[in-house]
Amino acid sequence: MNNSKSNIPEWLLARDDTVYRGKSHHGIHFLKKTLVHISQVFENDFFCEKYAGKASLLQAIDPRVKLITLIFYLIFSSLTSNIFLLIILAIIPVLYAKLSGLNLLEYIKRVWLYIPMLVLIISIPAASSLFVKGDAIFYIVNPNKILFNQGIYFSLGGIEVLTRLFLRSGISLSFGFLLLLTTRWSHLTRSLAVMSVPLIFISILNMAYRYIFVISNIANDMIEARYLRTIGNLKTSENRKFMGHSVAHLFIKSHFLSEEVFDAMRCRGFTDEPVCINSFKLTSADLIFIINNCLIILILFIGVTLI
Amino acid sequence: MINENKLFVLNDASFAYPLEESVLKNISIQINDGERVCILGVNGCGKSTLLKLFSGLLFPQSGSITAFGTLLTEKKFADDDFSKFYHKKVGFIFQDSDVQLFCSTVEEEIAFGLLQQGLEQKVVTQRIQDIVSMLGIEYLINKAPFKLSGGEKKKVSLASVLVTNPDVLILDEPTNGLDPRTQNWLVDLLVNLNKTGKTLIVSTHNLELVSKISDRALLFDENHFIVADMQTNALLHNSDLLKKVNLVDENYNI
Repeated sequence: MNNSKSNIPEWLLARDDTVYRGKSHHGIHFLKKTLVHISQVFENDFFCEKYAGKASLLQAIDPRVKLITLIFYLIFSSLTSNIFLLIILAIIPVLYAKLSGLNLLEYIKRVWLYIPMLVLIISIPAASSLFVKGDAIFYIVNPNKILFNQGIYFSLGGIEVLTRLFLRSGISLSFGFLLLLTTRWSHLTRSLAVMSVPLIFISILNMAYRYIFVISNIANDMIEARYLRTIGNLKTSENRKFMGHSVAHLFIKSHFLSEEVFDAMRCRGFTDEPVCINSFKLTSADLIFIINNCLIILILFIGVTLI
Repeated sequence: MINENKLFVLNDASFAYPLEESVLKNISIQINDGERVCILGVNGCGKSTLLKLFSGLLFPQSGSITAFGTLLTEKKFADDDFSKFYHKKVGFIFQDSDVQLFCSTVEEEIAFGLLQQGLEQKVVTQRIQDIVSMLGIEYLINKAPFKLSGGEKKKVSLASVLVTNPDVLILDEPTNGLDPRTQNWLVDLLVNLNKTGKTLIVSTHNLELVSKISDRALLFDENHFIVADMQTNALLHNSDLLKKVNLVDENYNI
């Protein structure tokens, strides 16, 4: 022990006398932000897992039935151009979400607030008279201007195109989120196998999903370690350098990891032929769900033909 | 040393990773059916590489390895039937459980090896139930592997290998990162499995563990040679040899 103590340099034996002199570490904010972003990866999964584990309506339905029903609704919504029917199709997943015990506000926020809004905004020029002619409702550029004799305006047809795009993207997301939030990932990928999706694709999807968490954990540890050792300001160039190194390190690490994983798969008899366990059984609840949705689609279909 | 029940025979085997120096040098050993063997040595001495040779993941560049009376070569493992037969016989538990748990749920993880063997769904389900019940991990069956603790991951790794009922169990640093209670549980399990006739080959740094799970010890030196092949207890009492290969320091006391 004495021998090892004698090897310790003098400065390491002295007590640290650093004192707190107020905040000055502006440069480490990016580390905090990165940590928050990584933790969101886990948060999203826990969010899905929280609802998928509930004993409510959609959670009790066979994932294969849910997947097929979802596909029917999506096909139906892409075939109809009637806005009223599209609104009804947008309401159906909200009702299912409510019956499945999801937090409605959070569900609607996740579904409608980002992507459909983005689709709406970027589609605005496409809905103008430059692409969709018709009777003007309101003008953006008045007629008889030098470049635009007829002006630029929005017609009823243009507004309808815009509304359809908004609703269709929202409906697709609504059903997609509903499926994700009420079905365990493993059940979902297993039901893809029923849809004759190649097993190799499902295996890759599963492994990507699985290892994104392992890699995120490694990234989280690296950034946490850096954060704990960051004393003082960091220049932007240093931040960039660190992030570059981290990406490279993660890339190399994931490469080694993939080799080891493949070895582990070979050790359990894997010979490039993916297989999948299938333990699903259709119940009377599934049949009722199928009949119920068939009726909804039938009523909507009759509605379309009558309108 | 020739035995009728010989499982693995390495004859002057050497191995080097690409662009690196040899990690195994002129290894000649024989491992017999039902033996309990531990492999000791400092970090980087070649223990894990030797285990990968036994597992049919790597092949010697010079010398040879024979298992179950068959010469192991890359060409031999290109035959899917032989590969499946071999990996059914030899189970390998990796040091890093994250490597071994690549499915999205514990149930799928345990089913993986059985499904590769082409067993019926009913048999697969029954075997899964039996193994999780034996290891006391029924509550983990629907969980995602990345959400498990270190000890739970190790138990699931073991379940995923044991479920195929291999004759040989190869474990790379099995007690790393496990708490003392889980370590003891693992030792008891391995001892019991050996009593049923399974061959155990374990690489470890844990000198307290080796005498419990092995009768025979192979000791690597830092130059990647095997410098001792003797009874575990005899090796543990040979502190001079253990110091010579830098496995212990002057404070070592058995």
